[in-house]
Amino acid sequence: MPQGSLPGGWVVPPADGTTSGVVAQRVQDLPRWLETELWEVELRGNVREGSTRLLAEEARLVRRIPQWNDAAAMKFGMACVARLQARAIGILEERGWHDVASKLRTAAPTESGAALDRIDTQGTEPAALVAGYLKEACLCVTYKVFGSLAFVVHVASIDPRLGWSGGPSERQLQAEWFRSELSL
Amino acid sequence: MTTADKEQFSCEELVELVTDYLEDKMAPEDRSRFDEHLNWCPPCVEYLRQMRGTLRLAGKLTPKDIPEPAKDGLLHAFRHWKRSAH
Amino acid sequence: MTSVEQAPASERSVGDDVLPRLLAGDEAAFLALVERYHGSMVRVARGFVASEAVAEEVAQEAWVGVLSGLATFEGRSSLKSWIFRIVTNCAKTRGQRERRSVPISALAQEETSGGPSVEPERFFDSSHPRWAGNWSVPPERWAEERLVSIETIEVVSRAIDELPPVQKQVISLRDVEGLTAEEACELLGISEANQRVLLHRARSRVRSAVEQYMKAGNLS
Repeated sequence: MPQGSLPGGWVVPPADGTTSGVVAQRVQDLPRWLETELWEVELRGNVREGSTRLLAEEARLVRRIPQWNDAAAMKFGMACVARLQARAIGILEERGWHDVASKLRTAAPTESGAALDRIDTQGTEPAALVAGYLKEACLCVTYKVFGSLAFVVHVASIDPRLGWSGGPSERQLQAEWFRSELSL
Repeated sequence: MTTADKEQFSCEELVELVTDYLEDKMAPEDRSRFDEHLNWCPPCVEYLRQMRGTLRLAGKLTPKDIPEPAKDGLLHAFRHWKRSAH
Repeated sequence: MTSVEQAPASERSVGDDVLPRLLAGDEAAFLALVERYHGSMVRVARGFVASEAVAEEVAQEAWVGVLSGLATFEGRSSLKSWIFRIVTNCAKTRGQRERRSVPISALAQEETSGGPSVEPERFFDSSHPRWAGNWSVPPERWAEERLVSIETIEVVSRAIDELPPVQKQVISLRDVEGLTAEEACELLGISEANQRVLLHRARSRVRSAVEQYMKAGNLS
């Protein structure tokens, strides 16, 4: 473990098995790997770049990033819900659910549950889908499962039946939150 | 699981991959996908915990009671071996 | 960091001094060794022969083989691996003598096929608008205290006894006894891939049995 400002010792896992090594994330990967703590690490040796993480031969902990904590996770989560809610409002207006949409406009992101109850989330039309996703996202906030939350909002954003396209992806926006809010 | 997110395993797929995972016989990308799934799916985290728990419990099996006649037979064989060896 | 997950069979290991004690004629040491391995030996033998009674006979025959080979045991493998090699050899010979109608490899093949590890009803099907393939009836958390209780171990033991023969062999060698995949494959004469599928099926069934037991407990 790091002592004061000195990095911790190098960790070299045994090279058995097909995937031995230390896993680490680039900033762009962080939204898929939410944990209670966030650490900066230094990697050494052969570093394999996967699509969503890195696999290194050796690594050491450099410093903890204290700005990532439960409160920050909540902020991150609320930002994801807010984006989904904004898109939901658009769809609901388009589909004629004007009063639900206006309720959502004024509701705090996680207070949208009641307004959405009027929509049957068993259906596959855009309004039903987006209402379903948004309710699920709010449940994730209630249970503080932010990895699940980020995933739900990501899945909603790429659901072809909702027809959202153009602009940075939800995952990119999630990563951008880490860059700007935690100065990474 | 929407068809758009084929990059992720479904839970139904994941439960069939648990042993490959625990045996470390997955390609790095698949292992990464498996781990990523765990980050958004608490039920699968519990399922993995249960599979690990199961294999560990198997390692704690207490000795089977051997029927007396069998035990007697084996002791007999042991004493016979002892005598012939010395 | 990854490594193969193995059961800590070391908790039940016989002492390091078992070999010298046996050679010195220590009956208690022999009984302890028998008690320790006999169960798994019968389970492994059962996969090669036609009945539980014959498997028991084979295990006893194997102990005689262990004793006669003891003085020349060079320790190139562990005592445990060596004992299981003897019992599998005895069992294979006995199985051939009985001229089993189903060769082991075919049995292994048959046991690798079969249904999913978890009933399909536990997952959403394509009728779910957003989460087809995800848990609909997720597994309930197993309480830590119940996980380590004697009763739960008994449930596991019974579930293993009820497994089809080759699955029972694989889980006995790998998880009950802690042998490596290579050792298990060599002893059983099956491929690594086959072995892994059989281990998967076995563990899934046992997990399911424990889940049912836990559920029943939760109702009381």
